[in-house]
Amino acid sequence: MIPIKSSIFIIFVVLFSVYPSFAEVQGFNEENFFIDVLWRKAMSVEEKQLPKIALVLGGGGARGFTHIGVLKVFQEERVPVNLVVGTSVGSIAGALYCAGASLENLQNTIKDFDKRDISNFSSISLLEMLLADRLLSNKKLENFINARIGEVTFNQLQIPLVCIATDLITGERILLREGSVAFAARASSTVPGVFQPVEYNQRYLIDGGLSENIPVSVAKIFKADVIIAIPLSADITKNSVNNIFLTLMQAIYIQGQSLDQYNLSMADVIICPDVGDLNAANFAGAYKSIDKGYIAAKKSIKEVKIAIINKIPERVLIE
Amino acid sequence: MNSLNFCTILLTIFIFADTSFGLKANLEEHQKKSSYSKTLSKSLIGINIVKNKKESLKELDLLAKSFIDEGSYNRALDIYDKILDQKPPRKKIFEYYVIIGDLYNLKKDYNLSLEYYKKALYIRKNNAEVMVKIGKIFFEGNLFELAEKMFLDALKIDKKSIKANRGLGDLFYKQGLYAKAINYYIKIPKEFYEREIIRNMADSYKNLNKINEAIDILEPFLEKHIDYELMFDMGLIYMNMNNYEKAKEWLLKSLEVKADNFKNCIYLASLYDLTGEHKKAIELFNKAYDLDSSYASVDFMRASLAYKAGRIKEAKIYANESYKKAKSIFVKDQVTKLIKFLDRK
Repeated sequence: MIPIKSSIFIIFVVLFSVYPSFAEVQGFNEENFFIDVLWRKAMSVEEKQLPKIALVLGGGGARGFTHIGVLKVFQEERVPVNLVVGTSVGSIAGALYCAGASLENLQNTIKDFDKRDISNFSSISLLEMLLADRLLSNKKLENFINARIGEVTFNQLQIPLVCIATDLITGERILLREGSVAFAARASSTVPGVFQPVEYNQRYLIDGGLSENIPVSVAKIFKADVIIAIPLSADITKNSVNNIFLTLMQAIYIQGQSLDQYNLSMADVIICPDVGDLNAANFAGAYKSIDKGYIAAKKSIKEVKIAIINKIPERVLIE
Repeated sequence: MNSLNFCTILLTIFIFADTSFGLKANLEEHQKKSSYSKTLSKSLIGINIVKNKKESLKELDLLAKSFIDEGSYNRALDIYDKILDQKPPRKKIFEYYVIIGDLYNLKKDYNLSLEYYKKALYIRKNNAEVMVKIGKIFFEGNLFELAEKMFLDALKIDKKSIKANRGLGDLFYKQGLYAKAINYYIKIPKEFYEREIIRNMADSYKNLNKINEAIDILEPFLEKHIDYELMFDMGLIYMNMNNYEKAKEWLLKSLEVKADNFKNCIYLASLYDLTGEHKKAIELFNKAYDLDSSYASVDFMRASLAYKAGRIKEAKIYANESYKKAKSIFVKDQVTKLIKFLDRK
């Protein structure tokens, strides 16, 4: 027979030990619930009540495949994008995205991507380059883009796009946002010293990366409320500096890096795919970096939603 | 007994002395727990029976297995050490290495587990099953690239390996590479779909916005099983589709199975709020509060509902309560916004 006092004690112990199981709270993440509820509300209001969202796609040569992975996440999560600003390969990715090209198809078709798909790269042209001082042409890049989105102009795009190029003579940053989209993306991706500059309105345009590799400031000019930047910067600490040419290149990278950092400080969210160790000129197997972009964007999507929700007036979310 | 027999017995005793004496302590304790091992250990302690090496290995093997069945992995490992000391045939050594690897794996000693699986693989280089086991260890250690390689190697040998496909599916699912995860999960024959595979597949499809596929994978399972978690998942999938009626249906079904599911209460309540069924929403938020009053979200939602009903004073009380409970910066920011908004009213 258990004494009465002991029985009461046991009942208390049982009650208190059982209590937590009354509420099945396992796996409940309050922040996620808040984001879910508020995001649902945000997506149910008129678009004009939402903040203007801009994606800034940085340059990075072969690392640019990463953008496809990032953009896939934006499509999957149905994040409304109102503006895309791109430099170099960011312009190419932006052109495809803004024109509504299927990223899934793109991912499947670029596995065998080769430099020859976008330029007249060959042993003969290389020889010409060295002996006759004649640079390569990236005219084929225009064809590559047109084959995927048609010969569209900026005003036909589903999402407004701005491509960044650099004036070779004045060094000015040039914002391309009218005329042929493929041409603008090509001009924005014309690597100096490798490809012939692209002639445009009595200017000679080269890669936008020279003036602004991650053009957040341009998104600011277009009054974006939420700016999401995707830099594809190289890890310069891994670069070799054991000859004059490489040292000069490193100096350019260092200079660009401080401008990048200034630009990135103005972004609301920075999605940083882990691609710093990929060589910008190595296209073979670069499509594998798509996954890296996808993973990085998935990890950042919560932050993206928070940044957007934070810019929505409380009246819109509460009423 | 003639002298020849006597010598044989002596020799046998000499050969197995180490084994038997080493085992003695283990066995004596073990006798209390297992009647099977009791009988077996008796025969091993009293080495008065003449046995050949094969028989002895067999008995040791049985004893080790009985230890495994009991969950006495350390004891089983001791026995396997003894077995290996006796230099069993190569074919058996492979099996023992795998078992020892499994035991270390169960003990979560992944380094040793890996060591034995590698030894096993050294004996049979093309054993897909061991490759999968190694892959799983890499996977557990978040060494995704190594794990992927092992699973893919296993698939090269056994193209239909369910475990390798499962491993790759799990691997990509864990990394959030949902399309790739699906590619491997769908290679598993449907009759082998376990609940976790179904859940991972449905979640992958949901993340890929392939909502119909997510439903197609969950629905047949839920026709046969009562599973409140998967019912809840189904509700969320329909919520993502903006099919709120179906979402309510599934969340209610889930709540019927498990009425005290806080998470379900709060999601269903928010759904009622979204569809303007405020009374039902309040009832469920109140229920959620009764289940667990520590969350800011419940008070936040009650404040929002009270405001919508024009009860500003009540809304302010709830909002202040919510602020006290808010744990993350984001939640605190949202509650602060609400408080400021209500203060202007």
